Amino acid sequence: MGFIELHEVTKSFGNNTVIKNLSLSVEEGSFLSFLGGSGCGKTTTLRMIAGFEIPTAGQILIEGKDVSRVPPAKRNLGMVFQNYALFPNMTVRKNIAFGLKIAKITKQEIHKRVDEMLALIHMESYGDRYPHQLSGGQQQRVALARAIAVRPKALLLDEPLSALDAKIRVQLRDDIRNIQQELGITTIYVTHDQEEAMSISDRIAVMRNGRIEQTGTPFEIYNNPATSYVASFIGTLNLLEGPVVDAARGTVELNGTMVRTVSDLRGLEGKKVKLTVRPEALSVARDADAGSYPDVNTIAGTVEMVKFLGSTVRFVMKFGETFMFMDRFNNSQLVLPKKGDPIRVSFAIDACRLLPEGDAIAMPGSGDVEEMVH
Amino acid sequence: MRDSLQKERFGRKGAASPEKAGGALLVHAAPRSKSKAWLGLIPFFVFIFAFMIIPAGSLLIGAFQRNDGHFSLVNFSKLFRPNIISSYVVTIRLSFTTALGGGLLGFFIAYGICLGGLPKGTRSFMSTFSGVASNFAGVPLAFAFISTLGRMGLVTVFLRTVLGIDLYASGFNLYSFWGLALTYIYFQIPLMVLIIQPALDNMKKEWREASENLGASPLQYWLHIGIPVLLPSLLASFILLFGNAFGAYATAFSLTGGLINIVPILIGAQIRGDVLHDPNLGYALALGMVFIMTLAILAYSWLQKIASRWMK
Amino acid sequence: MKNGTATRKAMSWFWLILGLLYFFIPLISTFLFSLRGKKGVLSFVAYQHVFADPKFLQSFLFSLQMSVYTIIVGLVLIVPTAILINLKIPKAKPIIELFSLMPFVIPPVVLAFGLIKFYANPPLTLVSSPALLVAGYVVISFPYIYRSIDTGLTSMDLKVLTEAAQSLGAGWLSILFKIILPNLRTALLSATFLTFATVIGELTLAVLLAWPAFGPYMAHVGRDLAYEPAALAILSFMMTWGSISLIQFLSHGIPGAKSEIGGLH
Repeated sequence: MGFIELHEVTKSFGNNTVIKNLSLSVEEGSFLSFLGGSGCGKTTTLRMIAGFEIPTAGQILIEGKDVSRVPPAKRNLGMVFQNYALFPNMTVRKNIAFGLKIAKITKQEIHKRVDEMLALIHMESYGDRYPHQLSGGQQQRVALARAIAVRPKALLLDEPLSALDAKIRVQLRDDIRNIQQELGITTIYVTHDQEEAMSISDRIAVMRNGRIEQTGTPFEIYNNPATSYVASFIGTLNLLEGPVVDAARGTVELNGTMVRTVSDLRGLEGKKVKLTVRPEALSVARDADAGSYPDVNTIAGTVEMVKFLGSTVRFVMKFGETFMFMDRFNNSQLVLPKKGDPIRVSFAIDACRLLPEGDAIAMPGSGDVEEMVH
Repeated sequence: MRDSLQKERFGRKGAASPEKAGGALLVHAAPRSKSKAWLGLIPFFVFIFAFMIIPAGSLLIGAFQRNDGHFSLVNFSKLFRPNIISSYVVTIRLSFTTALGGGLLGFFIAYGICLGGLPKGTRSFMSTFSGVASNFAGVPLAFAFISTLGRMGLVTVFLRTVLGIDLYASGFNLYSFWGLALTYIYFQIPLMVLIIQPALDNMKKEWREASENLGASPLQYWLHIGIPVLLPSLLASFILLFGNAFGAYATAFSLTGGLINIVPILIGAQIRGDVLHDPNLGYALALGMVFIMTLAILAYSWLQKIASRWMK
Repeated sequence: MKNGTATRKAMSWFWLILGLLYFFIPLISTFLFSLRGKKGVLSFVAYQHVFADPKFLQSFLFSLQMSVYTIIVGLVLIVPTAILINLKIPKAKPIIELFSLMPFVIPPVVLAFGLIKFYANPPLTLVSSPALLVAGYVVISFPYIYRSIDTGLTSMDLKVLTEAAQSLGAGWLSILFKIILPNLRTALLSATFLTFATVIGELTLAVLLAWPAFGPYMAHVGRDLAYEPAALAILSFMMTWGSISLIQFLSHGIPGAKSEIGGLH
């Protein structure tokens, strides 16, 4: 049984149902992220766990006890807000001490605990500052310290980094993860940033329209997306569409080229399917390779655009009417092709998967293509 | 002020000759237009000095003069005459009472609006309302209260004939302290609504949630966060209301016909030449008023600064 | 939690209703009172009397004239100043803001006193000229006008607009008349109506400088008559309401354009 469990939780505001029969289990000491676009219900779910919203139906259990109707003040959970929410009239020390004071802990103990917390967030010399004298990143570290000072059962973070600059975001992200591991505290983290979720979490729950689409480790979510939404939301994806030619061998025809997949295509004979392949699975084929390896697909097309991204280079290529991305590592010997150059790429058949059944796909890459082509 | 103007001009003179030789128009446009810009402020400053600062300053000088024009502090000792002391006391009491009453009521109304739960549009309706009501002062307001709470006022008559409460028999008089206070509160409430609203809007709901999350009760939230955070804004608003009542002349004049002993009325009477026959004492009175208003505005600005720093 | 929301809602309603009662009871009383001009029946006789009095029109027109002068002088003086400060000399902003607090420190009574003392004797004998009254009114309404214009200017990103216009080859005059002022329309109108609302029934300066303005006229009527003052109060209220509603209406839907409507007396 999980440390925090949600059973069939539903939440409606008036006629608007924002969470639908959501069930979830979070292991003690683990780090789970709710990942999804705006309006997917991730923040509402977190707020229900914190106690700021009451589920319309279903239960929330912490350590096996139903807390669905327990007020937030009695749940003993630490929460970190997007806008820091530090008390502006209190110094850093007093902010951190607030929860301890409310819990009627002795003065010496509070002092000791606040010192520990300041050390934990590396802000020992900032104790007497006021929030308005701190940067956003510092404020959020204090908010984190304030939340964990009371030794909560779990830590809840609601998009804690989205108000910060990119550089500080990455640094604070690592700090949060380190502190979480040091304390071994069960943590639930809400974010819309897939890179953030992947780098920080033990497990990710991808949410959409008030439901969880998939729960898994970042590795699983990225490599084996369970739904078309997850596949498209996480990372960049190439979509190859064509009719199934040989279901038994997993062969699909793509603009006259045969492409094979390891996915099971039985029963789809003659039907149009969509295959997926990640840009990093592609590589430039040498002519000699063509057809010589049975477990490698090769496609020929033209270069549409080359995008230099620093550590990687992204090629946009056109195969008939289909655009594809290929990523490769940068090195100084790389000879970059020009627009219109012919190119042949290859990818392993086990990198090529059937897109799971599902709603029309929201392709994050498609906007990219438009922008680059025109 | 004048010093810096002068400096600007001298600064330009020094730079003028190379400028003439220079060819690049854009490069030199900036410093030149800057000092020209300062010149552009002259009409405004001349006006403000001519019709505000200097006339007010002449009162200051007059306050330190005897009737024959010699320097003296005698006017200030005259301020300690019992009738003048009492007029200051009454004015301060009146301002304090109406600032407190109007401020509290205005605060609760504004807070109610911020909490939500009221019909949509209440907010913009109330802000128009408050704008009107806070501007609705002076003669018409006095008339409105005479029609309401005067001897023949509708509420007075209603209370007497329907509920059997005789306001005037029980000592109330619209033309006395409490009558004036009730009238002032009419424009104090909406003014409070207007000036406290931004501070209330800046109270983040996450502060309440964070305190709840850390185990605090609603009472503890108000004690440790809500009230301390709002306090500078509340005090600043209170002081503004205080000053607002302290300087008010028109309402008191038209309600009591100049019979109530408050400082603005006394100064007005001095100007109209009715009572004191001692212009220099009048100047001292006015100076005393300016002094109190200055203290008020300094305190106000200081508190506002604290409040805005927190509210960032 | 549900209970808490209900209590909060009840409290909101309670204070709102209390406030509305405080606001409306005197208004309704005054209105009913104003209808009692004829014994035994409700009528608009008091209003007829008011309109029939030639002094009503005279004093109203006088105050209207003064408010027009005040608006013109005030705008001509303050608009260029505010533009200059926002565009060229932000350093001067605190000074102007300090000045905009001064009319609070120097209440109308004291201002009138100072003006009379300073301008009573030669060479600057202005007390008998309406120009002094207008000057006083400009001082009184300066904070409102300045703040309206300043919010208007800050909300339209003056610097970028002028730079864009300059880069397109516009000269200063065309920038002022084709870009700044049209964008400032709402603020200008707000300032105008607010000044109008302040000046039209103003009593203190008018009475102390001894001008037959609308405020002193009303005060005079109040001393002699019973129902006509109530009618006048209703008429003034309607004028104030009209001005403020117009301001609110004008600034509606313009982002960042918060109208200045608070009145200090």
